[in-house]
Amino acid sequence: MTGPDDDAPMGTDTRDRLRRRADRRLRSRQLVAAGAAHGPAARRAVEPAPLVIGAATWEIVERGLLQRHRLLEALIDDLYGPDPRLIGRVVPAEVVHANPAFVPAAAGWTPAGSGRLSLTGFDLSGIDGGRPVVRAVRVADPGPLGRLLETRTITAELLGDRLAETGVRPLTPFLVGLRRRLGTIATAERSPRVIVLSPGADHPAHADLGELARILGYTLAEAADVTVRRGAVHLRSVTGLEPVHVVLRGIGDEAIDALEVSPAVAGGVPGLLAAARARTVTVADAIGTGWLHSPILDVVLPAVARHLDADELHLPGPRRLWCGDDDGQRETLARLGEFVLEPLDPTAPTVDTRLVGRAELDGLRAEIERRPWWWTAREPDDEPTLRTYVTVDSEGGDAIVLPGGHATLSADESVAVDVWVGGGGSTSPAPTLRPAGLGQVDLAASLPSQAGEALLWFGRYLERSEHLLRRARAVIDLAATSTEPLERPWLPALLPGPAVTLLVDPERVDGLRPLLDALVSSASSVRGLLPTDLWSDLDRIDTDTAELADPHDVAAARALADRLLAALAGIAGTIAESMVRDPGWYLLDIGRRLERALGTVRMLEATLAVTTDRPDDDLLEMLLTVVVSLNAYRRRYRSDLEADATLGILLVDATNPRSVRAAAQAVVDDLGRLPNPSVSAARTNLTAVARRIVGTLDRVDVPALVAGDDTGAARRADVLAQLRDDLHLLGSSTSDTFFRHTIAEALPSGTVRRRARQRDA
Amino acid sequence: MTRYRVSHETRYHYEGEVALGYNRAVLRPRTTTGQRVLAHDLRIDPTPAFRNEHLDLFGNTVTVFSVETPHRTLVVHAVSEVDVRPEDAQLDLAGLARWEDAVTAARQLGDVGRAFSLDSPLVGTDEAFAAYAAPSFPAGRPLYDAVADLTRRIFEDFTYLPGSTTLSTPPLEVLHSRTGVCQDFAHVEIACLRSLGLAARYTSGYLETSPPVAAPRLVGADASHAWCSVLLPDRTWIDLDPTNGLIEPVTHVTVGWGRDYADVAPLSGVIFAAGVASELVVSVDVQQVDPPGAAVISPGT
Repeated sequence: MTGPDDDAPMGTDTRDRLRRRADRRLRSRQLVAAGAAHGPAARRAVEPAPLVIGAATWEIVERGLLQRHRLLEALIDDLYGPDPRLIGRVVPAEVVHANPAFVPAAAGWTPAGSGRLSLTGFDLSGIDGGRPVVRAVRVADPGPLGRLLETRTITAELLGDRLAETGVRPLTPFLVGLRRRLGTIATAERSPRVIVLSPGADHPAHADLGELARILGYTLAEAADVTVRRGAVHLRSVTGLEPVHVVLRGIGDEAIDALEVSPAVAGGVPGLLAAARARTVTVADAIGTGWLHSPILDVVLPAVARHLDADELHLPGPRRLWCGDDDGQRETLARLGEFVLEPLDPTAPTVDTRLVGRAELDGLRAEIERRPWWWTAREPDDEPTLRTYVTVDSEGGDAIVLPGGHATLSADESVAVDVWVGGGGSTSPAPTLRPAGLGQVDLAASLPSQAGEALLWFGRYLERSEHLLRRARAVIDLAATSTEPLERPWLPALLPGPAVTLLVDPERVDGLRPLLDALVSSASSVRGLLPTDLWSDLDRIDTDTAELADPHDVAAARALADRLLAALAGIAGTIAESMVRDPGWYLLDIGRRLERALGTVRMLEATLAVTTDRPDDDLLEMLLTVVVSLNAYRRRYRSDLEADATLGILLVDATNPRSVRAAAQAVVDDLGRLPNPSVSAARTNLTAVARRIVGTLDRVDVPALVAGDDTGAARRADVLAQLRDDLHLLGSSTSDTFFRHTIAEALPSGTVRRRARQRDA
Repeated sequence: MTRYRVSHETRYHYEGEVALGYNRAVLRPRTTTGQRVLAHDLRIDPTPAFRNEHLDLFGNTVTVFSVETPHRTLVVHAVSEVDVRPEDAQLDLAGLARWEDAVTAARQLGDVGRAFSLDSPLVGTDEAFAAYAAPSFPAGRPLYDAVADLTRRIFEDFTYLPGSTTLSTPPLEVLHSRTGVCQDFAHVEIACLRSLGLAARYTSGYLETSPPVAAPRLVGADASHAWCSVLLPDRTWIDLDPTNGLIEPVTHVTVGWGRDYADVAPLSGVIFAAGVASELVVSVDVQQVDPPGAAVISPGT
């Protein structure tokens, strides 16, 4: 295997150059917010030099994994099946029935689809030395496959022609097999709908699952998007409920279904197990397979191999002792300070006995003697691992091992390295997938509610950021023209603080930074739905503001505002020119228009409220500048700035795309183009609110609003307040109509108990 | 033989509208050697959009249902008619064996039965339980005497105090506070038995309150009840009711059993609502009814 520490065939300079390019590609492909939602650990890098494994070594791995996969399927099928034969004979009953990783509700029946395992992850170490060891099995964890595919695509793009010389085994057959399996494990459905179930947009795996969903052509959904109705699984889309037949899940047993599997954990999909039991849905991997994460597997699987195959495991696991067995307990106690203790429950804390004091060791010893069956022990080992997968080609077909895999080089797993298997003869290791041979279904109108909401908010943050930038820039410019410190009565109403501070101080809660973080974060949760071009602009925004300027450096802040506004204009252009007009686009647009109208109305309301008589020229110019309408004004009117003409352009001018009237009309049009939500009454109401805003603007007598007396001020205040209220209502009604949220709660359980004393007891 | 009619009604009142509710009910009495189920009916209002029955790993009948129309009240009403024949469940000689023999039998239980002598989600073993149980279990004592003594001690040492515990109060805390309700006492006794290596299971059901002569019977005066069972060396089980200090109670109606309360909670579930407060009212009524042809059976048998 050639690795990053082996300088041939790639020199250090070359590698550094490639590493920088990889970094750029990665960042332009997927931007991960540095903001509060994700934290610095979410930053990622790709090591451009792949690890290459020789065909001969891989053959050993492949053979061993196929055997293990077959045994795992047989084992898990037996444990959960209607008539377990291995428990109490080959598998001690304790490690199943006293193990919280075993899901009793999943036992005794057989789910749809042949086999409970669809995409089994294996973590391997020791491939370097040619002595592979299987460290762990991972089910219901397709995230790393998404990351692997992304890493592979980047590495392949970078190394292009070098591949021709190497010859790499391609990933495509594996992906085709996986997709065929997911397409055939549904019951009684010729064209099944498959979703990838994510633990949520704020979860580190969300982006990886999105990448996988995109490549496989499935919908990415969060648990809140999925609901069980009449015993069948449905996707909550912005237009209603859509049936789902197969769930490729990225949520483990510990949080999958609060009704029957994980009552302590809110979230997941309540009723999912009941639907699987009713065979209306196939969950991949089946609920309960998380038992395979238990460390006891290292003890059990060799016994299963001997029992079922009369053979040893081709690939060893780590040496593990089980204290429920006399010999295991004896050795564990004798060498207690040398082992890592791991309980049966894979989610329970482990103990590195090398790090604990003498008194604690004595406590552990007593604990092991009291509950020996609970504890396993293994030698410490921190070797880096490689993640690869096994799937089964269609229902009942052959198992396929993914050639190569994904490894991480750093402790925080932020640096990914692609692992290739040589000798494949392929010059294009990047995965390409043609549509599977399934009935074509038009999913253009399908958009999970959570994704729809993220798009709407992406639009709102886009406009909100732009509005703040324009206000701050205009104030900086106005200040530059005056020699003494700038003072205007309306200034505090226009900006809540010093313009430069709002732009550069990351701690200002009303500043730019939280808006941009929210912008990037909402975009990240719907990466797969946004054009890739958009990411370079978002990345510029993220990079620019990451190196924030000195709060006293006005010129730098001014330049930053320019750059950011250019980037936001780039994003607006991409949205206008490169996005398909699907429900997601309309929701994004509604978000932008709504926020634009609100920004203008709020600004007018605040600044005009402190101006009892006629607004001064500086204010009028300021308002026109912020709403990007100064040129429009100058072209239209030869006069100096007049208050009524200014308000006309900003509020009611239907030809000015920046006016409130134009924004409200755009919302009416967008609503008309969105497909019917299932609750159409709600939408009628929504459109009525948007129309009312347009009507208010059409009827408004603009000159009367600026009459230089108290009545003018009162009329202005009335009209602007009504517009603001209606816009707020429009925002909340849009959310209610398209992304209705309800919170799952555990039903207070239990019964009223009274002691019934037996009289004669 | 005694015939009982059991009515067990659970009412949830929500302050606001609940859009969607999923429930799991374990309310159908099971047929055992000492009990025969003649009739059972589970009425749910509003009518569930989905309803499915299955047997769980322990052989209990579990009903899973979902109510998908907006509602403010959910009523789950189970009505059962059950014949209880204590004479069929009489103590055999196994109870006279040394209690240590039952520990050996517990270890030999394969499959899911093994779980009954180990830790379960709500009941963890602990030395404190073993220490509390120790005076009842001197070496070589007949199992029957030992468990009768332990059951009597829990009955005497612990104070029945509704509201002193919640469903999430660990049995170890109950052992220290010495207060709780029937479910807590069952969990404590199970923890004691398991800490000694015996197999013990949690049983949910009902008991009949004998009304004073000529007093009107109060509907709802009774409640759903819980007790436990211990494994004998011959792999049969006997019931122990620490709440009432009874061993082998004869008037108990068994609904189901499992490792602890969580396996056989009468009703549990998840609701989707925007932060709705709820109120729960449970009423249970267990009445003796005359079996058909009761007149020809002479009293006193």
